[in-house]
Amino acid sequence: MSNRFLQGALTAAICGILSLRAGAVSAADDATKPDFDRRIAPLLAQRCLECHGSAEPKGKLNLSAKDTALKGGESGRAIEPGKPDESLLWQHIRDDEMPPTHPLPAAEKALLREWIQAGAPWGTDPIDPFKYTTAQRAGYDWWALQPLQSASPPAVKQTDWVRVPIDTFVLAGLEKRGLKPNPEAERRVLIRRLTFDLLGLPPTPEEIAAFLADQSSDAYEKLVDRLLASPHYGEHWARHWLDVARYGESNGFERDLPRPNAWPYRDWVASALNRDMPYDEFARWQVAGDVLHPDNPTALAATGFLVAGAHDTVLPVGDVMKMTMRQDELEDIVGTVGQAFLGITVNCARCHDHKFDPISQREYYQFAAALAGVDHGERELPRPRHDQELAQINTEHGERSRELSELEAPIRRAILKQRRDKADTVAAPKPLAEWDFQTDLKDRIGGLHATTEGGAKQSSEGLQVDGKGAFVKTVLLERDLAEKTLEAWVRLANLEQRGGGVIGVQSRDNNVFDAIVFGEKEPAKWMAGSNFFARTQPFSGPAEIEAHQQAVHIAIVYSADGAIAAYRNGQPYGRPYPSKGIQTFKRGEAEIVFGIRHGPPGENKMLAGTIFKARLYDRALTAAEVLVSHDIASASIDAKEIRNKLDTAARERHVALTAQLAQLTAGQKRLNDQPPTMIYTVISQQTTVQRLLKRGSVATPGEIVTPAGLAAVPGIKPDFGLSPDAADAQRRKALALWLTDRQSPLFARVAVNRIWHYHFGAGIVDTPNDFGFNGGRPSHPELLDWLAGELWRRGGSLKSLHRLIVTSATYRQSSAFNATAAKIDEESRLFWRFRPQRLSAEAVRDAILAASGELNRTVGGKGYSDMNSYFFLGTQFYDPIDAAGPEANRRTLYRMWARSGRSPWLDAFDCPDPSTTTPVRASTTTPLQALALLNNAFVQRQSDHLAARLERDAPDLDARITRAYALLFVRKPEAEELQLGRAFIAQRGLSAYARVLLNTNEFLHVD
Amino acid sequence: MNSNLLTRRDLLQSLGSGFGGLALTALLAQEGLLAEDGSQSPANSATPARDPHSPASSGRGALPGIPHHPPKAKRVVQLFMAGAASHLDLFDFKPVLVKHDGNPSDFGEPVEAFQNGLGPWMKPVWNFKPYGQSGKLLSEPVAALGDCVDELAFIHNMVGKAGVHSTATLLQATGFQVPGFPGMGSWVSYGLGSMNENLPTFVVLPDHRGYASNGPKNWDAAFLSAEHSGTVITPGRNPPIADLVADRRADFVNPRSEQEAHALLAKFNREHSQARAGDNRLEARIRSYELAARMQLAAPEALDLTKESAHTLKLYGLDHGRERFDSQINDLEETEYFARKCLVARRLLERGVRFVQIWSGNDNGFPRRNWDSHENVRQDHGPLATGMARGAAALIQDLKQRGLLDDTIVLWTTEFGRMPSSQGGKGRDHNPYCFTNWLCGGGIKRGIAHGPSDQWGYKPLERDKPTTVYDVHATILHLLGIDHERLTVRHNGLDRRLTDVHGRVISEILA
Repeated sequence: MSNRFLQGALTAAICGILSLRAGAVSAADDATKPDFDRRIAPLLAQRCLECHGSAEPKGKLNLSAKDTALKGGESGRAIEPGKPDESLLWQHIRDDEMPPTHPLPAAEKALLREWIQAGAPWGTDPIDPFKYTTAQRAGYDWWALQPLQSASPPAVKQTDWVRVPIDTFVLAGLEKRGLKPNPEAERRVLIRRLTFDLLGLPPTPEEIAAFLADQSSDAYEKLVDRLLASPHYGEHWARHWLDVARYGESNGFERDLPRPNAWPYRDWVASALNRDMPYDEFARWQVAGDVLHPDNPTALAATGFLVAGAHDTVLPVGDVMKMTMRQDELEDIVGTVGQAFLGITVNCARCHDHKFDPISQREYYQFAAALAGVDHGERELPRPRHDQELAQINTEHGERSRELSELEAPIRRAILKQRRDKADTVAAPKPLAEWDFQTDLKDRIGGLHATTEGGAKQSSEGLQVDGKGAFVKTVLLERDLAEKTLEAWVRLANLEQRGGGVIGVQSRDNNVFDAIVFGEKEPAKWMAGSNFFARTQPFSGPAEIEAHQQAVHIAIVYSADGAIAAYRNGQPYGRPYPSKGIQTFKRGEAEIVFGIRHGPPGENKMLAGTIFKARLYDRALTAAEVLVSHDIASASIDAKEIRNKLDTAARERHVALTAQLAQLTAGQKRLNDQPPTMIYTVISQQTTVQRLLKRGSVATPGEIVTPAGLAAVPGIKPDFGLSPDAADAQRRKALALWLTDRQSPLFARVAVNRIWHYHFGAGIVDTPNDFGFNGGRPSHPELLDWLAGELWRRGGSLKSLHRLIVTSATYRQSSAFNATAAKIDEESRLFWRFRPQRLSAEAVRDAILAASGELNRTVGGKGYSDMNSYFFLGTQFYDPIDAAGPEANRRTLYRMWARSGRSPWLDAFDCPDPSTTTPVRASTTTPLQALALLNNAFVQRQSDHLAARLERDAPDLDARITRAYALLFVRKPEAEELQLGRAFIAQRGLSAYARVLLNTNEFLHVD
Repeated sequence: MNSNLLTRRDLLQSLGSGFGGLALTALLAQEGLLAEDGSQSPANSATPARDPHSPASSGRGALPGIPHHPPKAKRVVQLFMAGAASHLDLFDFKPVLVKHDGNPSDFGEPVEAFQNGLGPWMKPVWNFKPYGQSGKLLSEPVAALGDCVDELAFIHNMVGKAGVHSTATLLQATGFQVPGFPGMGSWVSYGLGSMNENLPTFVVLPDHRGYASNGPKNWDAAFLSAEHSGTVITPGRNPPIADLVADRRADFVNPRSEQEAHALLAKFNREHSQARAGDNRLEARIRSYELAARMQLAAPEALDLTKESAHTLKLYGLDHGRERFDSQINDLEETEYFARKCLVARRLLERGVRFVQIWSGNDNGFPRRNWDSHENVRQDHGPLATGMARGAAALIQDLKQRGLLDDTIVLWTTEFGRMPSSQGGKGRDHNPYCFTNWLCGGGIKRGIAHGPSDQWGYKPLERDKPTTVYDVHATILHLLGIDHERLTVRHNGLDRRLTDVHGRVISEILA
C-alpha cells in the first residue's frame, strides 16, 4: 500500500484501536512497549502540561522535557524509572490528587504506571504533543497535513466509460464495491444541470434547441466553453465564495450601519472569476492586495475579504471590554482566513492549544499577529490620472504665483514701508509666539514649535492642509493662557467647506478649545469656535467671497471680561459679543493647532487651504493694534493698489497672470470637487507588538509573539522572518505568500475540494472548511491529490478545473436511482449517480425571474435593496418590503446584504446568515418554504409576468404550455400534461397555472 | 352568503384528502366564512400523532437517544426584557441603597462602566413589599407577580460578559456573544422535535414596536438548518406569519382556484417523484405543502382571542375596553401589548408549540420603549414592568389552572442588570456583573431565591460562584430531558452546543 493517505488513516486507526484496547481492558494486555511519543507524550500534554509545562511550572515541576521531568520539582524527584510505587508522580496520580479536579481514567493511569515501570523511556525531547495523531486528536502526521501524493490513475475494468482521469479514480472506487456508474444523462438534463451549475440560471429555450440540434461530437464541450465565458458564471460562483467570505453589507451588532461601499468587493470576486485569475493570486489579493498592488484600485477592493464580516461599532468606555471586542473581531478574521484557504480552524486555538489539531495557542497569536493591522473602514480608490492632473495644475499654479509675487515684491515692500511709517503712532504689538509657515514650522519668538500631522505640507508656498487629516500642532504651552488674540493669514481651498479651524488653542485631551473657525454654523462666515459652542455666537460679519483667491488676515480677540471680537484684513468683522467668560488654558496642558478646529482629526473639523503666517498674543489687542499688525506684515495687499504702482507692461502682465491663476484655481477646484470613490475595505492600522493572551483573556497578556504561519502545514517555513513590531504591510504580505505557496498541500486541496463540492453538492471531503480531526475524511484521497496537483499544472486556472470536472463521465451521469447501489452507498459518495439537488435560494429567485422574462441581467455595480432602511438614533433599521421593478429584478447576488436585514423569503430556502463563514448550505424543506413560494407577492407577480410572456411568445394554448415546459423544465409536456394544463387554464387562467408550475418539485430540483 | 362557496363538509372532505383544503380553507377562515358553520375549529380537531419516522422535516420527532433522562417539562416560555431590566428596582431589594441614597458611590475597586453611570448610590425608585408565603420582596410595578410569587425561583447572582446590548442579548438568547449561533428555542426544536403538525415548534412574539438588538439573529437557527428557526408571529397583523396567505394583490387567486391549483400541483409533484424513487426529499416537499395548509388553518385560530372568556381577559388585564392609548408611555398600553402576547403564548402552548419567546421592548429609540433606562428608571421601567408583571402573572396562573404549568418552564430574563449608582440622577448605567433571572413551572423549586447578590447588587455575593446563562440553559435542557453536554452539532470543526464548554445544572433550584 503505497499511498500515504491510507497509511495516515491506518496509523490513526491503529492508534484508535490501541487506546481503545487500553481503555477497555488494561494496559498490561498491551504487549507492545508504550510508545512515548504516541501515547505518553499526548497524555502528559493533555493532562499535565497546562500547569507543569515549561513556562512557570507549578511546584517547579516541569514535565515537558526529559531532564526536568526526571529531576522533579519542589517536592523532590517525581519519577523513579522502573519503580512506579516510589515515584511521586505515580503516587499523586494513583491517589487522585493529580490532576487536581479531574482524576485520570483507569486506563490512562495504568499506561503511566506501565511507562514508569518500563524505565520511563523518553522520546522526542522536549515533548512535542503534536507529533502523532492519537485517538483524540490529529498530529503532524494527519492525512491533510501530508505533502500531495502524485498517484497515477488506478487500473479499472470499464475503461470505455472513462472520459478524463477523474473517472478512473471514481470508477476504481465503484468497482471495488461492485458498483457501476449510471449511463450518461439525456442531453436536456445535461444542459439544465450544467447551466444551473455554472451560471445559476436556467438555459433559454433557444439555447436548449441549439444544443439539442448540435450533432458535432464536441457539442457538450462547446456548451461548457460558452457557459464558462458568460459573465453570469462569475456572478454565480462569486456567490459561493461570498458564503465562505461571510460577506455582508452592514456592520451587524446593535447599530448595524450599512456599508454602501462594500459591493466593490463582491464585484471584484465576480470579475476575478470571470477573468479566470489564477487561484493563488485570487487568494493573495484578498489577504494583501492593497499592499501587494498599492496603486491598483481593484486590489484594494479585493482586500474587502478580510473585513467582509461583522464589526461592532458600539465602543464601551472600559478598555478591557474594548480590547476584548477587538480580540473577538480578530478571531473572526483569523478563523475565516484559516478556514477559507487552509481548511484549518486556527480560531479554535485562541484560549488554549487546539484540542483536535496540531496548532498551539502561541501559533494562534502568531497567525493573529499577521492580521493585527487589519481594521474596518472606507478608503479612497486610488485615481492616478486625477492625481496626476491635479499635480500638474498645482505646479503651474506655483510657477505663476511665484512670477506674480516677484512682480509684486518691490511694490509690496514700498507699500509696507509706507504703512509702517504711517503706523508709527501705534506700537506694533508683541506676540507671544509667531509662525512663518513659508519658512518653517518654528515659533520665531518662543518655544512653541510645531510639527505636521496627517500629511500637512510646509513649503515656501506656506502650510498646506487638505481638509481630511492634515493639521499642525505645537508643543504644550509653557505658561497659562487666559486673555488672548489669535491671528493668521490664510487662503482657503474653497468657500464651501464647513467647520475647519485656522488656528486654535486646545486642551491636550481635545475637550476645551478656542479657535478661528470657518463656515461651521453659517456657511462662509468666520466665527470663534469653542467646545460645544460655549463661547460661540455669530459675529454677523459678511460671508466670505474672496478668501479662496487671495490670503485674508483674520484675528479674534478674547478679552478678560469674556468679550470676543473679530477682525478681517485689519477691519472689524461683524460685531463683538460678550461670551459667558474667558477660558483659561493651563500651562503644560494645552497646545496650539492649525488647520483643525480641535482634535482628534476627523469629520468636518479640518480646514482645506494654505496658512501663511500666524501669531498668538497673551492679551487682547485693541482695534488699532490689530490694524497695525495687519498692515505691517499683511500678505493681503489689495491687487488694485499694486497695479496702480506698476508700469503699463508690468500691469498687463499682472492682469494676465491674475487671470491665469484664476483659471488654474478653477481647475484645482474642479478636480478637488470630484468626490473620490470610496470602498469598504481594510484600513491598515499601525501595528503594535502582539502578545499571547493566556486563556484568551486580554487581562492576562503573556509573551510577545512575532507574525508567523503554522508549523503544521508542511513544505513551507512558518517563520516570516519579521520582528514583533513589523508594519502591517509586511505582515500581511508575508502571510499572503505563506498561505498561497504552491508547496502547501492544504491550500490546493481545500481549493479543489470546494470546487468539487459546488459541482456535486458534496465535497470529496464533506467539510470544505475543516480538513482537521473533526472534519470529514476524503472519500477519494488519491483523486483529491490528483486534482490539487492538476490545479497547479493548469496554472491555477479555475475555469480549466471546472471544464475538467464537468466534462467527466462522473459528472455527466444520470441521476437515476438504483436501489441496489443506494443500499451500499445511499448518498452516492462513490458517485454511482449524479446526486439531484435543490436549487439554492438565489437560484430559485433568479430562475423565476429568468422564466418570467423579467430578469434584469445587468452585471456589477451597486446593488438593489428589498428593505426599507432608516437610521434612527445611531442605529440602522431594515424592514422588508416588496421591491418590484427592473432594479429589484436583478440577480439576487446584487441584493443589499444587510446583516439584520435578512430576506425571510430567501431564508426560507436556506440562505445563510453572513455572520460567519458558510462552507456548506443546508437544504431543508419546511412548511414556511411552501408558504413563501405559494403566497409571496414576488411569486405571484412573476406568475403574472410568466403568463404574459407565454401569451407573447406563443399563439395558442398548447404552444403556451409547451413554451412553459421548455422554460421551466427543459422538456416537452406529455399529452396528459397538455390536457391538464388546458383544462386548468380554461378555468383559472394562465397566471394561476404559472404559479402552480413555479411551485413544482420539477422546477426546484436539478436532476 | 352566495352559493359558490363550498360547504363546510366539502371543505373538511377536501382537507381530509390531503391537498384540496390548502389555502382555500385558510382564506375562508380568515374571511369569517366558516363561523356560521359551527364553532368547532378544524385545527382543534385531532392533532395528528407525531410519526418519528416521518421523512418530512417538520413534525419530526426527537433526535435518537433523546430524552437522555426522564423529562420534567416539555415546553418553555422565555420572557426577554430588551434593553436590560433593573434587578435593583424590581426584584432584588437592597436596603443599603436606601440608607446611602445620594452618597457618593464607592465600589471599593475600579469599575468599568459602559457610559458614565458611577454617580451617587441610588435607592430603588419604588418601595418593596413582601408577598406570598415566601415573603419575597417585590417592588410596586411588579406587585401583580405577588399573586404567584410562591411559584417562582429567583436567581440574583446572574453575571454576563460585556455590557453591550447586542453582544449581551446574543449571549442570553444563543449562549454566544457573537452572531452565528442558534437560539435556545432552535436547540430545543432540534433536540426534541415538534409536538404538533399545525404550528411551528419555536415561535417568537416580538415587541410590536420592533425587534430588539440583533433582530432575527436572536432566534436564528444558524447551523441547525432553517426548520429550527424561530417563526415570528405578529398577532393582529394580517397575515400574522409572513406569506401565510396569498398576497391580496394577486387577483388570480380565489378560493376555488386555490383548490384546483393545489390539486394540480399535487398531481404534478406525485408524478415527478414517482419517476424518482428513493428521493425522500421530494416526498417531504409534497408533505410540506400539507403542513403549510394545516398552518394556514391553525395559526389564525390559535391567535383568535375572541373565544377567551371574560374572566380570562380580565386576568390578563385585557378587559380595559380601550382602543386608543395616550401618546406617553403608560401602564394600560404596556399591559395590552405584553399581556396579549402572554395570552397568545398560552394558546400556542396548548396547541403544541414547544418554545415561545416573548419580547418586551425593542431596540433603542426615543422616547424609550425598552428597559435601557440610562436617563430615567421610573419613566420607562414603571409602565414596562407593570405591563410585564400583569401579563407574566396571568400567564403563570392561567397555565396553572389548566394544569400546564407542571410541564412548562417560564424563564424571565434580560441582557444584564443595572448599576446601584445613579446615572444623571434618575437613570442607571449597565451592570453586566450582576442581574436577576427567575424561573417557574415544570421541575423548578417553588418560592425560593438562589444565589444572592452583594449588599449593593453590584456583583454576586460570592464572586467565585456566579450563575451564568450557561447554567440557566443547562438547567432548562436538563428539565426537558436533555444533557446539555450531549446535545451537540458538528460545525466548523467543533461539536457546538448551546452551553459552549460551560454550564452546570443548578440543582439548588430544582424541585
